[in-house]
Amino acid sequence: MNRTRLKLLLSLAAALSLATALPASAQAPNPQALLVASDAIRNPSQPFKVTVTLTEFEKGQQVDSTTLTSYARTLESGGQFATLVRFDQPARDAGKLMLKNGKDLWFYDPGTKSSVRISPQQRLMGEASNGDVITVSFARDYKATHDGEETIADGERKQRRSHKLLLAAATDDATYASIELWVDAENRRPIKARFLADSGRLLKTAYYRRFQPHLGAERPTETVIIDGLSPQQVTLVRLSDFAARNIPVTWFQRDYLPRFQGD
Amino acid sequence: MRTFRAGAAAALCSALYVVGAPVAASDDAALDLKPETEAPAQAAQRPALRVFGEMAAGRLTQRYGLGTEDTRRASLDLVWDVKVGSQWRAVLSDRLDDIHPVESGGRSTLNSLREAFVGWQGEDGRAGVDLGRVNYRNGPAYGFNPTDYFRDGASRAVTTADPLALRENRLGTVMLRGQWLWQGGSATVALAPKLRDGPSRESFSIDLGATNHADRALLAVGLQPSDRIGLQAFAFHQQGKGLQLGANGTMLFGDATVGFVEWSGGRDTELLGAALGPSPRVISRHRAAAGLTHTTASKLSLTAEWQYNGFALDKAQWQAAVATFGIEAMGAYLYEVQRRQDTASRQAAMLYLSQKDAGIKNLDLTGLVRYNADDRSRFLWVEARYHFTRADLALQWQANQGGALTEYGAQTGRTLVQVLAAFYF
Repeated sequence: MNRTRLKLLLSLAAALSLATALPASAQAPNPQALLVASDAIRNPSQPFKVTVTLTEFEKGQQVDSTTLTSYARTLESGGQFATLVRFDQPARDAGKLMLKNGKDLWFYDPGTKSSVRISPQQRLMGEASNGDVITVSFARDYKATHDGEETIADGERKQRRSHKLLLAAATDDATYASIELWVDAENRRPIKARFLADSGRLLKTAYYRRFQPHLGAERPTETVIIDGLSPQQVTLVRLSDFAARNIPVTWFQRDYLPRFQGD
Repeated sequence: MRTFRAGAAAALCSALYVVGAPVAASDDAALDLKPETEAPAQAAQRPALRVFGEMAAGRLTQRYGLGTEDTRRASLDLVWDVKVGSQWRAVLSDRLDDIHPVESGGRSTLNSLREAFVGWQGEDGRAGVDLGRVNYRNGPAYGFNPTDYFRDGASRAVTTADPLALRENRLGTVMLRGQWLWQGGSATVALAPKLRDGPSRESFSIDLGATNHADRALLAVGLQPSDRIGLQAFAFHQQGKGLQLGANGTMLFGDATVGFVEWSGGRDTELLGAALGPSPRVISRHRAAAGLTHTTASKLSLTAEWQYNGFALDKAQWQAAVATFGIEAMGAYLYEVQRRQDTASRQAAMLYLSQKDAGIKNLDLTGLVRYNADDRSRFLWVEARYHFTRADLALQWQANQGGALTEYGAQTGRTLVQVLAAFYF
């Protein structure tokens, strides 16, 4: 009898804990918790590396392709999400590095041996900035509010019931003034995002799609990024070969860049 | 009518909400795009060997009745950087230039062994040691780097006027370098011995005397007080000259502007004495550079830089030197300036503009103005460069402008137009 009661209590406890994690249409969702859950789908919690292939299209024609290897981890101090990107293709850029640690942005050219501090605006000029749309912690840098539920078409044109979140920049490290993010109501996957400037101008739209199991979760392996000003300019970002890596924090500073070799 | 339309619109919106919002038309087309190649299933290995070749041909117009002259250059550039195990590394970096016309007393073919060293680093990257010829570069300024203490004699072959590209040709210095990193800082010690008395112009000399002509030691400490500010402090000693102290900093202003400042002060030889006499005087002076780089949303980057060199001649000293030694002798002074990678005037300024994707994708425009603030002469350089997948094609124009007895106005070359093709293997 006691054993039966214990089982009942355990089942009840399990059900309660599940209920708090589930998307509750009956109760207002916690927008920041939704954002954290969505971040966790895009970004593995452990340090990792991933191959990023960026293909640029203009008016429907492929005009450029870049391959990068991105090393990313959360730093112990402040929970900052830092990335170190190495250019692999095209050949003229092979070996160049881009470090992003909040607003601490550096570009290293092994040809000139120079590490140049760059501004966020300079970084946005390059293709590496599209990595922001993928490997960046929104929850740390943005404050989320819930803007209702919507059924929208995802990147594979399937209708998805979603929570629409409005993200307002909350730290100095935020790249964008605000973001509209649609999160799948069933599984917290990011579906679509619109990135906005201070003026409210649309900078880019991103569709997250082709979810596949990598490093313990179903993660988006393709993101379609549409330029806000020129919708004919589209970048397809494909992620492949996710791998957990023991990445030391020392990699994420300027003076390490000349010694960086990756693996 | 308006009521009907509003009602219809509301009904349509309601219907859309029920069935779900379709993808916007422009987004719809984007979702159908297919790349020409599959994403790599496995991460690309970091290539151990990087090779590129460059060919240039141009037309030089000259002063002093020398007419015009055709110029041409072929260059082969290779870097072999191989990781040995998890902690060791071997680097060999070499460049071969064949340049015509040949400078007086020079060779048309010049090989530059830029780097040849082995490196070790701890598993966590906190400590590292390099031994061999290492290209160790410091300083955030674009055109003049007072805290780049190993720049003296490092340019064996001058193949471009672009200060950023020129650094690719730079010779390293044979040294033992140790570095320690901690979160938010670093310390580096470099010890470079004297190996030869002076540089060699032999085509295939490894030219140890160019950069190892004196015993030198450098201590550098880097600090990161915030993610918007980076600082470095230096103590540099050179046998026969003495101590120089230096510092530099980079700062991020807003989201589009980066500021940088460099200062170095201490003992060095005066430039004119070093150019004209066998035993130049060692004096104590300052060098400094400061500037800003601003980037617009339209991919235009503009850098403005002010430069100060206490070892260089000021306006009155330049005029006195021209009167005493003649303008031809000032060629030796300007050669020494170039060898040291200094500025010829006490004060100078530089503007550097770069426009990515100028009108069409993959076309970059770059422009440079060097301005001698003492005699108001200037050097202009403009490049249009188109990037193909494995090649670049560029058109360059440059000009030296100013009065007859000025730094740039006295240069033999008046203008140069050249086309350049670079191939990446």
